[in-house]
Amino acid sequence: MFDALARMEHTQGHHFKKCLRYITPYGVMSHVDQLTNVLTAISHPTRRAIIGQLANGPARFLDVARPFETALNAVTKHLKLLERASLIERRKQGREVYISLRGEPLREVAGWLHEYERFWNKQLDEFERYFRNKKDRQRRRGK
Amino acid sequence: MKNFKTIEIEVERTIPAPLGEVFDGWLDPKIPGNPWNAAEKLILQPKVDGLFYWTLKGTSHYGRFIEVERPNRIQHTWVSPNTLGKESTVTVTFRKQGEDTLMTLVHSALPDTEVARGHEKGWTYFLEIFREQFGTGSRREYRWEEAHTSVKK
Repeated sequence: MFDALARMEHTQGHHFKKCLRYITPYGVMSHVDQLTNVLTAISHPTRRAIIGQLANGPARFLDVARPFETALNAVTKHLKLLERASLIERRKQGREVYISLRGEPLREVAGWLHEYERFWNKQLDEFERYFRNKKDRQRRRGK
Repeated sequence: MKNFKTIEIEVERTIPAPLGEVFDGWLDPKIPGNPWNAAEKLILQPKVDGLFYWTLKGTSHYGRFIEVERPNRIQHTWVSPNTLGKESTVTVTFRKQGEDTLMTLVHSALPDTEVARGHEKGWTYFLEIFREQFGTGSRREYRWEEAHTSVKK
């Protein structure tokens, strides 16, 4: 077993060594680096908004930046993180550079979502909302 | 019978209401968000060894209550096509957190299969949510029937 691992490490080098660090209770996760990058990329609301915007089609940098009140270099940083996760790509068309969404890496994230994870999250959101609305109504009535 | 790897899902929320009210709300089919609320057909006996049965869009769910300890803990089994007919366990705990209640739901012994994770349909569904939620600014609701029917494109 260890001989086989050593052989694989020898033949596949650094990448294999890197993957070995991510042995989880669910098995060895290959490409976890990519998954981590994708999860980091979609963890920020601005980057999710950019993904949503690009889901409608490719756009130029200034078009991507327009809806946000942040500085242009902040948008550049967000785009770099999306690029690192391979969620976007830039393509030159004439004198313009168009940024487009590459949905493929989201497949990996989707694979981590269990049906019941979605189900219970939705249920508890609704449950929480019910009590929050009830509390708001009581507070308004008390005023 | 083939043995599947199993996984455990944990979801936590702070509910802005007192402990007893949240506990009772979780077992009251009239309160939105608990699993019994959207049922088309429901039989619910929330007591130790009581059973439940509910259907939604033709999908049946069955279970047996193992623990009902007001106001802190509810545990029941959960069987559905998504558990591949096997018994999984749902444990809900309620803890006082100031004026609010910290609610933790753990769904354990779930088969971790391609079907359960719904790779392909999950992928399509996920992108649709992204598009609708962030593209137009409207938040899309999870729809059980959509997530449980294969998406043909």
